[in-house]
Amino acid sequence: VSGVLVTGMGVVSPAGVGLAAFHAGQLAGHGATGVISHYDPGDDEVRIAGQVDLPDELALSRRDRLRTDRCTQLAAAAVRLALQDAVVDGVDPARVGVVIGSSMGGQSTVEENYLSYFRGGPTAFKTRAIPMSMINDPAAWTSIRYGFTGPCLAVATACASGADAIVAGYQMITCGEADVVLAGGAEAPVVRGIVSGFAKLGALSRRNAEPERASRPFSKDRDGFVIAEGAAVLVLESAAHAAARGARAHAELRGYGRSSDAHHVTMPHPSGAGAAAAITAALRGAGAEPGDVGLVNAHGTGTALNDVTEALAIRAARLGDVPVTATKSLVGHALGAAGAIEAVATVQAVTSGLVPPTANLDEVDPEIDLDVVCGASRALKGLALSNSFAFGGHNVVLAFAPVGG
Amino acid sequence: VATHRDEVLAQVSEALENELGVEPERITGPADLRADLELDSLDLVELVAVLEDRIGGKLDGPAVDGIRTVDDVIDLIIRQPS
Repeated sequence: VSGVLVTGMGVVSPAGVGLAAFHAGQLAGHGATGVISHYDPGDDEVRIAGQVDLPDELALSRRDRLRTDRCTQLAAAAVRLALQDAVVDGVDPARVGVVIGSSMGGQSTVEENYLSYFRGGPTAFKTRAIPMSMINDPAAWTSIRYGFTGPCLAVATACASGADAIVAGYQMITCGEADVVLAGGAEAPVVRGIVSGFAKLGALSRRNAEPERASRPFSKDRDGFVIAEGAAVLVLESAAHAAARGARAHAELRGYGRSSDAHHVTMPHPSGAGAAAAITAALRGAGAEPGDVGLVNAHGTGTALNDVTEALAIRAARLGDVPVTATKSLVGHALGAAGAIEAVATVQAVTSGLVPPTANLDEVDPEIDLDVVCGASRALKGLALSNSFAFGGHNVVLAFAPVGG
Repeated sequence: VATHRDEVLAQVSEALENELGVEPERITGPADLRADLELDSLDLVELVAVLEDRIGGKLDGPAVDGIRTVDDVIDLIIRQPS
């Protein structure tokens, strides 16, 4: 018995908290982004985001909430759900690793503390400001909370962090360093300074009047992504370890592919060559041919540049006829959590045999020559890829397959 | 009639409750900050910083290191030259 299985998943997203709600949200195909309520956006250019409604039973205690940023709180909820799903009681904690990626960590803590600092001087930082805002806090919190003493780290590759964290977990297992790894991503960027910063880059949709219809991957009238918060964690486990404890698996993480654009810090290479190389590498890593692939869960941000170059990349990797869907049409773009949230969506597509529709797709951009699933879900057979392409030119593609398929 | 000590207890309780999330029913004079209220070293640093901010002055350095209970914190504040 070899390979790496997904034996548990937890997801906390604007489009649903928990596997059942998230899957139902995807199949319903309605955008879950809305007007920002985490702060008063006033007359700001961008007043919309994807926000999580975290139920009380998944919230940390009041004391722990005061000790953590929302980024860690969302991660903690996803970890709790993933562990409930995987039922890993009795596993040797020294053989459990944790990798939780984030693009920018605890940004509300950063903003609040700098506001205090500029008003009150250098002693105004809260005692826990540094640990609360560090990018590795979600991972560290998980290790400390559950006593997992295997390798524990964060991965920061902007919008590919969640996918890169899953790759790191895969590698820990295949190199024999761990039997079980909690791998995923967390992000809490609905903070005024951060939203304004992304707005200044020209990356965000200004469709403030239609918040739930603003995230429009592959649509002719898309105008940027909708920033979102969220977290997702996969329990990755060596097939041998899972078999020994009789664990049920959702899917197999069959392989991955990565590359770098080496081009520009925010713009994808216009040819899509870097992204295509990562997709091709993922097929090679999974020992698959283009004909084996039944779904590409696209990075699909809804920015003008991403969607066109991603379409070129998918075609260049000889997957131009494969059904494509974009989870960000529902969730928005949860940055460092996106790759993990979309990994959950991709695994759910594999297990259910259903490709969920892309929301808000009234008319596909004629420059995009892809089979984008919209309107209703479609049957899925075979391997499913999940694309993540990031600021910095980081390209990461995960390949999931049915168990034993 | 509320004594000065009661007022200081209320001040310390407010800080423990609102800044550190300690449940109010656990806050008593003899309560041990670490053993009973489960505060760690970072919480104690924050508690002292918050109280200094509230009273508008520095608490005495060596005495701060010796605080063990809620009563010790109250004594420390009461002993401060105003």
